Parts: sequence; structure tokens; C-alpha cells
Amino acid sequence: MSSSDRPRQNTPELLGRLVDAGVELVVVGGIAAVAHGSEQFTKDIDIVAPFTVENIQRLMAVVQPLAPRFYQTIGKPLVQRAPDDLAAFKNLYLQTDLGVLDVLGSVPPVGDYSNVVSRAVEMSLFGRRCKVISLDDLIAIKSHVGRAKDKLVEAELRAIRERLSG
Amino acid sequence: MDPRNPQDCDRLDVREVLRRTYPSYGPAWDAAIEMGIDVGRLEYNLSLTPHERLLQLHEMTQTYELLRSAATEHA
Repeated sequence: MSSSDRPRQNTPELLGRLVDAGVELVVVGGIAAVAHGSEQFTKDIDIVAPFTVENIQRLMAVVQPLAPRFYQTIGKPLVQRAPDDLAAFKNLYLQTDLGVLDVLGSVPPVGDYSNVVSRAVEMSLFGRRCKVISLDDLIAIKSHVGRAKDKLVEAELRAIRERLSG
Repeated sequence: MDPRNPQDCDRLDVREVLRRTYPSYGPAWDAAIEMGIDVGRLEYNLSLTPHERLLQLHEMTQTYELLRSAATEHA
């Protein structure tokens, strides 16, 4: 994706709309790492969500007015499928007028939404109560992925965990 | 030279300063310093609420987006 055709990221607005609409979600990825104290710079929002038709309907009601596109598909086509079609997907990688939103059905090795939400912590973010993946689960994911940039964040998160328990 | 004072450190590598400035909270903390992580920034972030941490990120993101727009206009 070139920088010129990518809308500005407005995470507070995008996350706020999802929470206000009652979309079941847990914030994961870089935003969760920062919420836990990481120094990482990240722009996109990653969430884990149950891929039920009802939840995808709620999610699409939020993003449909934002010209959603499958940004990882060549040509970045507009999302025009029905929610019951989309609910059969494993993940949705969406670019919207409020920025990029990655909707994940599961995050190895932790598992799907039910696993993640069972240990998630509630945080007050941008004026809303949001579920955020636990520090332990986020460390497990960063360790599992193992890319160089993840190793750095993993080291930060392990240091934060030690600092908080010390 | 006072190794606790970053102003006295004439190198970009401030690990020694960090080791002397902050207590060791354990092996992961020490390893973070060895990897070059500025644990002083982590300490600062932990003094903020999660909301404040994300506001800080949002401000950085807005700056990034402004710079990206400016770069695109001048391309």
C-alpha cells in the first residue's frame, strides 16, 4: 500500500465507535502493548473478536459507512459481502476512512476470542471501558511470532511485568 | 565523569547509565537494558494511566500523519 492512498489513522474514533456499537472485542497487538506500557510506535488497531454473524453485523454497521476495503487484497476492493459471508472468514484486514482495523478470529498460541477474553483486563481508554489482552497473553503471542520487532516488544513487556511485580 | 548523568556520557550507548540509575528488578529487566531498551521510558510510561499512554501514542500518530501528508505533497 502506498502512503498516498492510505487514510489517516484515527484510533480513538474508530475504537470508540466499535465499543459504542456493542461489538464484542479484545484489543490486542501494538495498541495493547502500548496500553500496558510499551514504548512501541504503532498505528493500526488489532482486535480479536468472535466471528459470529451477530457480532460481524454489529462490526460492519460501524465500518460500512467508512468505505471499508480489503487492504491485503490486490486492488483493495470495497467490502461488499454480507455479514454471514464475512463471519466465515478467519480474519478481516480492513482499511477504513478512520484507518486500518485488523479483526482477528484467533491469535496463536493463545487461541480464539473466548480464550483471550477469559484473561483480558478492563482499561479505560479514550473515555470507554475496553477489554485489553492480558500482559501474560501478549507476551506469549510476541514470543510465538518471534519476528525481530516482536522480540523487542516482548523484551519490553517482560521487563514491565517484572517491574510491576517487583 | 558521573556515569549516572547522561549529560556526562559521551556515547550513544547509555546502558551503563541505565544500569546505575535504576535498580535491577530481575533478569528480564536487565536483559531489556542489554538489548538497548530505554527502561527510563518504560518507567515513565508506567507512571501514566493506560489512557494517557494511548493519548501519547495518538499524538505521535498525528505527527506521523502530518509528516506523511507533507511528504506526499512534496513528492
